[in-house]
Amino acid sequence: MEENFKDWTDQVEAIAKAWSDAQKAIGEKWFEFLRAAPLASEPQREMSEKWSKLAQEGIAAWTASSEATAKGTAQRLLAGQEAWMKTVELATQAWKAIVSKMESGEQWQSALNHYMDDVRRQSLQSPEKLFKSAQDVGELWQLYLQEFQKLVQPWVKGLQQAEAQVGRAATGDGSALLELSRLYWDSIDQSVGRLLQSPGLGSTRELSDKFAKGFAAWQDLREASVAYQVMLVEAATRVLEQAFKEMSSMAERGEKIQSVRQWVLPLERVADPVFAEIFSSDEFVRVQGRLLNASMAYSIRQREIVEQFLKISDIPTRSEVDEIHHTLYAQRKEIKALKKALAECTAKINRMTKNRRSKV
Amino acid sequence: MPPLPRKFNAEEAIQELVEINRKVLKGIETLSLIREDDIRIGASAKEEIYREDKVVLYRYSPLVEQPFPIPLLFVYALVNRPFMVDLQADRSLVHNLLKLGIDVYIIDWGYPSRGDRWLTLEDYIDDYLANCVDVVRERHDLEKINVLGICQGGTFSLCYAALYPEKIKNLITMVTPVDFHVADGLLNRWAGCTVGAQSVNFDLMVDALGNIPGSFMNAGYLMLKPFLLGVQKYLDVIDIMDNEQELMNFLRMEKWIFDSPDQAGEAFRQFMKDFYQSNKLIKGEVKIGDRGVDLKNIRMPVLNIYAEQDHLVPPASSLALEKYCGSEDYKALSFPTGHIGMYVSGKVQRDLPPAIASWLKR
Repeated sequence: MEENFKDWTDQVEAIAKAWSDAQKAIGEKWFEFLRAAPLASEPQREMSEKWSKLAQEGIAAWTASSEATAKGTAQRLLAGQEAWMKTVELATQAWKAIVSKMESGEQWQSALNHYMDDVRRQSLQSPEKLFKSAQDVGELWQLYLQEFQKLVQPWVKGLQQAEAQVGRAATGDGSALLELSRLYWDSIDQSVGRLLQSPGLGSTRELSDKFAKGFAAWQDLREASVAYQVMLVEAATRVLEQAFKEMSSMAERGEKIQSVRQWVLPLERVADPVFAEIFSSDEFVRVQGRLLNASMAYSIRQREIVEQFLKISDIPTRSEVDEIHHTLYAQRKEIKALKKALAECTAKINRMTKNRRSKV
Repeated sequence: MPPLPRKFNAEEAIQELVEINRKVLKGIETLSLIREDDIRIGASAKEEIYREDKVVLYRYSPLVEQPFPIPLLFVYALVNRPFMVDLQADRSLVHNLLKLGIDVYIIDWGYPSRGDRWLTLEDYIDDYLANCVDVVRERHDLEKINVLGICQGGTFSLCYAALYPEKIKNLITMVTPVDFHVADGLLNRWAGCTVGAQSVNFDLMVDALGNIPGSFMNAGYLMLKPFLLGVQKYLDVIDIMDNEQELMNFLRMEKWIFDSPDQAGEAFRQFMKDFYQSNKLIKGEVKIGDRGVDLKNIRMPVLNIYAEQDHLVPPASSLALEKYCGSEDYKALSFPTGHIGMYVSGKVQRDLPPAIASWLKR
């Protein structure tokens, strides 16, 4: 026990030293950068990444045996630290970009606006790609089917081949539908072919319909996710923009940022009010609602497909378990009502008996 | 030139970084030694009085020889655990009321499991809550008892009081939503008070999830103040990492925040649709079972306590009670704090318990 404790202490000390050394080295680089801004290197990114790596190693080693609340807190603590590092990184990047534009004669407010436009464009690049890919049905089918791969392996193999056929079919190529049909039948043969004679299980139309509805729901979810991400990016960008304006106001008011940690102060002052303003807009409520609804609709479609396979394997489905619970719930209520009625009857009989005895 | 508040001294800044990380390391080391059982919530002694399914009624052990004869029943929300009102000895509404001679009971709704997915608001209000009230009445041989409802528990208490006014002597509501369409509440807006059906489809949600996971609810609450609750809080905690007592206070709060029971599906569906989306409570259209809830039936004395900086239940939402309830003995009382500050703020804990006790004993 003592030996274990010693090992553990040594381990902590070693990691702590490594961490501190890394911080120091990274910090030195960062300040070299600050002095030389606007240079092209990005040591702050390196700092952030190294910190994150060390943090993950540390948390894995030290909280492996600790329990829920402490572990969760440690993880959130590190996430908070990481967010702060990112803030420093963003602030430094922005500073660098703005100074660069000012050196070419631009006013700082205008430089800030241009920088924020760049941030928006960069941040939204990925969602735009998603929007674009949403038009490529074949690619989407492939992604969609990957989600079911483990669960419905034989089917998926066939359907993954089928994605090209779906695309061709969508363009009006009738032969693709025939090919698609063949792939479905192959899949059926590999999985539930032996059960096809059973009424209710042999309908490929039913299962195909479920997959198709699942696909539509999944596609809707992807689109809703993209729209939501776009709003979040817009919110984050506005927060950053306001943080820089706050930083400027601080300087005008004569407030000093006294330490590295205080870099986060402007953000602290503006972040949640800006988020609240955006999050309370009707547009955000609609976009968030669409995401949640699409997510739930997809979950239901997914369940329908999974349940189809569970039924084939003679495994109880969630719908069946819910049905059992509902029956139990109804019976529990009925029993409670009967017990209550019985207690009232018993009390009434007791009172009548007592009255009769007293008369006798 | 954009005004930059200051350029740092590199050596000082590096030293600061190292120091911060030393504190983080020390903190994680401390955290790793803390066991879940060390983080105890619920400081006051209590005994189980009644149990029905997963619901348990507790009575706190009185701290005076002759407690006030009419007991006070706490009705908490289904969201989070009720023991926030007794977080720790020096931050406990319950403890302070016990010291002032109030006889306190509390309902613990428990952790609904899949088997509880079909529980409705009728089950919670007209069965569990109603039975707990009757148990307390019988134990004290009283026609009427005092009820203190908190947040959603306050809304439940209003429904119960409207259905059974003859069983309630005094009603206290604390940070209780009444008008769910007050537009400055972010939760109200997210639930659809401005855009209606274009927001969340709660039918779809319950059909998909069954019970609503507590973690799902928590994610929503954190999104109300993402920076403060997701980042800033954990930066600030670095400063108290070497103070075991303050760290334990922080962990107790963390435990309470993330110890979120799942929400029984059908009850959640009805609450979100009828209260949040349709605002039926103030319209007199809420049905509990086959009985309508008319707030005008609430004619007993009412003390309505709200938090002036409440971001979950806007003050205007609570204050609507005066307009819609039937009580002629209505009093509103506010504190300059937020929703959670009502239970844990030192200033509130100094002033709130005596205010409640003196109002009950008046």
